Amino acid sequence: MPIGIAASFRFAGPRKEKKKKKLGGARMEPPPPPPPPPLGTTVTQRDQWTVEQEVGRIYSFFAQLPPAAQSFALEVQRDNHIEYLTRGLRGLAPSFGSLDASRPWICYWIIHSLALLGEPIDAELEESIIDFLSRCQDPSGGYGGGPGQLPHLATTYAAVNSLITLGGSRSLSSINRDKVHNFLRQMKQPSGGFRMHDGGEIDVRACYTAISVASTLNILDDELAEKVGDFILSCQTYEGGIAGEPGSEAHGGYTFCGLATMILINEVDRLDLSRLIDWVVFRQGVECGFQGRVNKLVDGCYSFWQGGACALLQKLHPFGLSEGGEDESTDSIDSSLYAASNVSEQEEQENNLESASPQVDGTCQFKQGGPQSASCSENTGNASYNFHERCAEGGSLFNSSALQQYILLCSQLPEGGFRDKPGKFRDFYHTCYCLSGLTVCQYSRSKHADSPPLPWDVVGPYSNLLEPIHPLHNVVLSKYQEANEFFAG
Amino acid sequence: MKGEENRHHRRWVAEKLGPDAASRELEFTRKIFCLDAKNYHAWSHRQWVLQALGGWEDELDYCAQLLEEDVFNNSAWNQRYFVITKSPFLGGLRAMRDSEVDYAIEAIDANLENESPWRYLRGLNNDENEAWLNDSRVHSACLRVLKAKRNFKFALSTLLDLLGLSFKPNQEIKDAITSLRTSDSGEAGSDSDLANSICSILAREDPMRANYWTWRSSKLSQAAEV
Repeated sequence: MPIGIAASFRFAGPRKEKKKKKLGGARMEPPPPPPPPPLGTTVTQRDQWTVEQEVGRIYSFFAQLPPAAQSFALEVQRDNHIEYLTRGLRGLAPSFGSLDASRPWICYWIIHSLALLGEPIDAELEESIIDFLSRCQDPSGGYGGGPGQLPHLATTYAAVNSLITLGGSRSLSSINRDKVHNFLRQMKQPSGGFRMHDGGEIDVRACYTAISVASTLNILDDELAEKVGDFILSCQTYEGGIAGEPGSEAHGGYTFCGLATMILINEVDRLDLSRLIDWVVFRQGVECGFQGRVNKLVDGCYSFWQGGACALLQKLHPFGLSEGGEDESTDSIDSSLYAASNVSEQEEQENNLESASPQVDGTCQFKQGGPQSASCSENTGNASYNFHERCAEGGSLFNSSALQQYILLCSQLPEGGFRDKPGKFRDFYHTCYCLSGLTVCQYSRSKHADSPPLPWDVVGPYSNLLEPIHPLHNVVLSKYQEANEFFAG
Repeated sequence: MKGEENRHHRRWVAEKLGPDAASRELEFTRKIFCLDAKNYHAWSHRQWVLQALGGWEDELDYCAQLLEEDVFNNSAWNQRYFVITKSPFLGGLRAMRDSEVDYAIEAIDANLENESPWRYLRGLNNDENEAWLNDSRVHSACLRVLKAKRNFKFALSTLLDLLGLSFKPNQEIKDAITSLRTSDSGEAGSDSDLANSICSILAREDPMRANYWTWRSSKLSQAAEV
């Protein structure tokens, strides 16, 4: 149990004095009202204080629960999440009011969440979704927010990812690839970036949605990739993270988008990766979850944007030492480097086990041995397909067990769904990205993207294990692989 | 998404109306910042207005005002960086660096745990390492923080970065670092020992990032081998 972090959380108060127990067991006393924030503080400090109080209460409460109750608190409430999600999916038919333009997004958030939970969708519902998304397709290409709406890159991404997640030939063949290709080419700008829609903004998210779709549909060509790297590079800020547009603030969502895009077009080494890593790891705060920007509040959705960025960064080698990821064949790996990296990785694994993972019992040290590097798939050209097969060297860059703790105890609602933070309401967006963040955590130290994690890499019962994802596209890996085969050739 | 569409529409309108629209658009974003000083789309719009329509004259003052109100407002720090690098009235980063270093350090001294001015300070050197390495104000600031013996993770992290650029710390800094170590292993020897010391101290003091500090440490030994 990752109590280590909870107990050290600085707002965890001292254990309450034991009250006299009545027959029938201990009563839960209501928590005392939080102290007011100290005087002379700024808005940032006050807001942060409030969140820390809330989160601290949750962790203190958890810390004094008996083990069985703790176990339950850390369980992914599968049935309730599935019910919440399924009801949402059925409710998509009537319009969602102001979210009317975003129905493909809601589709994706729900369908992807269900897929992460390993829950199939019933055939009838599946058919009506495929139907609906088909009607969102514009005659000249791309998907709009609803039937008859103008096509938009974000909704195209959401629709394509939804259809890939549903899988099967009916779903996949409903995508008119040539038309999508046309649409992407129309959105492509001379400067290298992409517009979200006709006359829309050029930003890093548009680049990601375009390139991700192009990649999954196997229509990514030089024309689409040209100068995208220049644009994204211009969006890396002095802080190290990536902004939506040049000059804007470094932001978790755009950092994931920018990083993933650069990997997809094989230009990731152009980024200042050291600075990027330094920025992103500092986004995990005392609450154990991630914030989107410096001095802003923790939010469950950044579990994926920031956690996912860390997962991508782990697979890269910022110093260019060839450790099995970059060369076409294993023969070209310098064997002395290979031996050195093998040893240091083993030591790192041991260090990480001792210092970073509070759950690990000293008696069950996991020994890495053997030629892991040699068993990694090499990157043979399709940056996306083989990327997920790269081995993450040396454990996770971020604190995986702490993040899982935040997701399960602060974002998860026992009645179903996930939220930004305590005090906020659940929604499908946060459900999607909290679950996506959770699976990223669970597989963050796996040798391969889909090799089963070790028990101590999964916080809570092992049954919490979700389906693994393709870390660049955020679709369930098996579905990605099916689509990849379908669209190959 | 709704905010995005509105903002784009505003741009279209502003473009049609020409330079007179500048002060009105700037005022519009100011009003938003009164309610939400970190609104991402509003800052993006404000930057677009400045670049497309002008109005730079008062922008540095505006940043200073926002930082007066909330020195933790990272959006205001980001805007400050934008202004000093892009404003046609200010001469660019090189010209502004000196006074901005003072500004950042003053903010650091006021709140050691405030990450914004630390990142801003690092951003000021913009890979021109000579100035960064030789700026004694930066070294003194780090030393001050180390001696205070609290909230020193950014100071140590900054020193670690400097050591990576072949910074040669004086004895006072070395002693301040050593005094933060818990194990009694004598004087810090070479600079790589010092860098390793920093990584171990950080792995202890900043446990959330224990893996990261361990990884930084391993990078040091790899760099040494090359």
